[in-house]
Amino acid sequence: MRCSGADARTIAARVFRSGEALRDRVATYGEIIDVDGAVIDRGLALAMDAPRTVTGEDVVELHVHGSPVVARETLRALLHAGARAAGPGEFTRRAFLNGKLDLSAAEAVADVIDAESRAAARAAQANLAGALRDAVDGVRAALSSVLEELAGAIDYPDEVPEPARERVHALVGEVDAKLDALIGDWERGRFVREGLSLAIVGPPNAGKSSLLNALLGEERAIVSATPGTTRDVIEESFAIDGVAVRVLDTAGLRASDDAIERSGIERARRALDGAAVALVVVDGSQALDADARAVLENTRSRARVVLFNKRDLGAAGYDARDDGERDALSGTVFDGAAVDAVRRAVAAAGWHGESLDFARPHLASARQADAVARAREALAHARVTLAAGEPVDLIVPELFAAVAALGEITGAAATEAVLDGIFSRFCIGK
Amino acid sequence: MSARADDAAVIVVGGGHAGVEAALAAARLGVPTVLVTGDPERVCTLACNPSIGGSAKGQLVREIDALGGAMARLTDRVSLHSRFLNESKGPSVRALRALADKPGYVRVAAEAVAAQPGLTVVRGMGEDLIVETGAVRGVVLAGGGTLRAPNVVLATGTFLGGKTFRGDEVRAEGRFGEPPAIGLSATLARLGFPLGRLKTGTPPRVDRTSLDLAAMAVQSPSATPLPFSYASPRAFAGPQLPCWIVETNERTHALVRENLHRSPLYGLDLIRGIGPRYCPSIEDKVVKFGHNPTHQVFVEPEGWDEPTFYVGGFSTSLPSDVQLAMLRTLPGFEAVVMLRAGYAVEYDFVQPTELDPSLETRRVAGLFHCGQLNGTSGYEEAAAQGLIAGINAARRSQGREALRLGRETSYIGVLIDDLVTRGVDEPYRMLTSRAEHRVMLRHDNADLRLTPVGRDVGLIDEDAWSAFEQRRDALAGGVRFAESSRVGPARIGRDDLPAGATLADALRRPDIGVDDVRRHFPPATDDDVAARVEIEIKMDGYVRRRRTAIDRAVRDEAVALPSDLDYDAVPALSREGREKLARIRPRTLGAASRIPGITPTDVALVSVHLHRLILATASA
Repeated sequence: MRCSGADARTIAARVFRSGEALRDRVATYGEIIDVDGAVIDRGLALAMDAPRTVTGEDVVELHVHGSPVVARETLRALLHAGARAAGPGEFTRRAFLNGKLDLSAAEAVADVIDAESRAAARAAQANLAGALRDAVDGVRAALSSVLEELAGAIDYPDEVPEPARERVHALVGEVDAKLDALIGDWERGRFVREGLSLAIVGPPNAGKSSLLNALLGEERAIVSATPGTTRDVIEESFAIDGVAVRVLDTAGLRASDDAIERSGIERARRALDGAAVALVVVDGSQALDADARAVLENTRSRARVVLFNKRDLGAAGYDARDDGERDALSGTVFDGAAVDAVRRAVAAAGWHGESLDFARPHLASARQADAVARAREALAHARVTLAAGEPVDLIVPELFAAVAALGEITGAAATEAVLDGIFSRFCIGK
Repeated sequence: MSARADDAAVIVVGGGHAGVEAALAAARLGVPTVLVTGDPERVCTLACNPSIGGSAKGQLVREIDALGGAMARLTDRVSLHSRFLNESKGPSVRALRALADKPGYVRVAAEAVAAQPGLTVVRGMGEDLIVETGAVRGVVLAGGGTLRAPNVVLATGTFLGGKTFRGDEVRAEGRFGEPPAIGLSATLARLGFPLGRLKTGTPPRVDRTSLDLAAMAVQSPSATPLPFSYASPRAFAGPQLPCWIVETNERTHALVRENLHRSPLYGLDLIRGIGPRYCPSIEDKVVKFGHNPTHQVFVEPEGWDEPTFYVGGFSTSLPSDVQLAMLRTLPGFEAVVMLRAGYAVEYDFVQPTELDPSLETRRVAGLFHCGQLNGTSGYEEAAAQGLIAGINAARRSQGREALRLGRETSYIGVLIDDLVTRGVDEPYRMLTSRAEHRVMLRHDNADLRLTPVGRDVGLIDEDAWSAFEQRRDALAGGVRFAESSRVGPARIGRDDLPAGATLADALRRPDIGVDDVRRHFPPATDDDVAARVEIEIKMDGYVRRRRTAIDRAVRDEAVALPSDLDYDAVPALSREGREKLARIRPRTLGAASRIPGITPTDVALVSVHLHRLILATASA
């Protein structure tokens, strides 16, 4: 549990009791106590003084045992001692506001917090290192440079020559292509940030729960065996090539067979509605029953993966499958190779199996994507205006708008940057 | 007819471009006004170059005129070289630049001051302010006289703590040969105003008869020179003269380098003030742009009958003997006679973040600051502020609400907003790059933007108003005519136009100008009106495209921030943002967003906090 802010130590002292005083960056053992002095738990307190902390403010971390009750009671004690619960992403925002990170880096931190998969963490780390800032800044600097020439020629007509229109046009085109690539990565990267939603559907006893367990792997199955949070009850996630795949309606999959029978096809349909990809499991060892045929038919028009399960028991159903299921997989969920085949098929259906280059910088938020989109809109206007042979006074505002929009990502002010460029590049003034 | 000096409502201290606009405006609004100036015969001195206008500055002059100020009309009476700049670069950046006959400018300004009813001129220097319970009550003059009034406009230029430099020769002067104002600096500091030092400079003046002009490139005025003012006649009183351009060379630069140790800025290190990047001295040019083999030098007449030429681009504070040697390296200057050496001047300014957009200080009620005192440079920037300060001092004395111009209305609005929200760290010059809504802020439409404002304020008389109404209606009629006249491709002579194309459709094409379609307009259409019809039609789409951004800016501008807003109470606001917002106290959310270092996140946090406050107040 982390407290950040000028009063972090004061507040921590009200809930943490120890024989020795907290020292900077030294863990201290002691008791977590409530408002009446009763011991909630025993644990460690770690104080870190500003500014060398993650938020740039004084920070005290309380390390307590993992029980939800202990965590809740500790939080309650902290609130009683004068702390305020952090809003979503507040630590990140404070880190940014305290100058610990630039805007893009702060949003990359938010990505780390939200990321459930390794790939997202890698991409976020690339941004943390400033790769996004460098990429956007490079584009912004190129635009700013030509804008300096245009604006310089307007404000100092006797001293700064107007740049050739062909060169301006070519540069705007190059910049636009780079921004297009950033937006493309952003759109593909949606799976990285948000994950892919998957519904596992099929008749009772087709092996859906077993397939889920196989996909989740041993570790996750154990975690979800002791549901402690709401999310664990209704949603599981696993990774394929580093992309988080969220399985919808696992509650239904995990309910008893009686429950499945009771809610039947209806429940599967609801899960299907919200899913990007359907994973259809049927018993392929015998002739398909009416339920199996119905679920296959209902999912034909959408992105799906079909597994004819229970290959070890036979393949009668698989062999007699319709043309619509020509590409269906056949195997058993207890066979690692078959489960891998399912993973690959889900990747192909979900994001066409495209490998995402996570080492490349990517836009980390919808706000950044919006800024790039606005820059591109302004550049599109600039290109039309240039092509039409309009005078430069109509091109300059569009380029200014583009530079300003990109500056929102890196935190640079357009007007000042352009003026600085003009005065440092051109020797002007009567 | 003159008001008596002891029942003035407005006192203006300083008779430069800012002070004279302020005094004329206040008096014309019917408020008894006193102008305190060191030398009433030398008001509106063009202390540096003879040039008025230019890119962005020309728009300021047009706006001053459209609001009812004096600068444009004064310039037109003594213009000796008028040139329209950026004609090929588009309507929104076209700008007029004129060279004025310097003694003539001072003469017509002094005449305007003398002829203004309700304006009394007092010869003197401001020495101290009378301030009682946070409000200004009058001015103490050097030598002991006292003038009392509830509104004081300070327009002291470079005179506050002024110091001039030429080599190792340092003098306490506001301008060459004129004493500085020392007392007022101390007064402002005592009142708690943060003072800073800025520096500017001026080049040498030379004897025109000593130059070989044939060795120089000629820069001619426009073939059909234009006046600044909507009210001025097209024909000028005197002849239009050419200017000349020469270039520096390696010998010039070598002299600069060899003598840098005698420069008060470099070798002697006497100057602390920050100089303008856009007006570098020749020393700066040689030191900072050493890779440039030449620098342009503009040779400009200072008057029809003046013996002096101004050597533009050659500002310097090197010793006189070096200046002369440097001049002699220029083509045509081999036998030059230097009549006055250049010098640098350093002076006090007050951070303009101390001001409300009305230009009244927040610290002392009734005290207004304008011109170079606010850290600007340039006659036009000074005059624009003077006009607004004069209007608002008069309005305050009449109990009326202050006039504030938004960034979307004018370069004047941009100028004042930049000053009061961002402050200055070098002398501020207006540039088109500073105006985000520049497609609206054009030379041609200054009257449409501001004359109705000037009329409301009371500076546009009946004649000027009816002339404006005629122009406005003729323009609207011309646009209507163009939009409704179907001329078709054949009559225009352009088969790439659609059938049924109107005159306006044709004019929207970048390569079709009003001259190409002039014959389709009614014969009575005025040339000026036709030219403006073309601009209105060509710009219309772009202006509409800016409209969204302007509407958003105007909306943010409409969100007032309480002057006592506790920024410490805004959750998660950065320390920098907190400190800046608490110090600058922007009046609106829009102004907050333009403060350097204030991030969109900060603005969002302030906005959210404000909403919470409003909700809390509403439910309380």
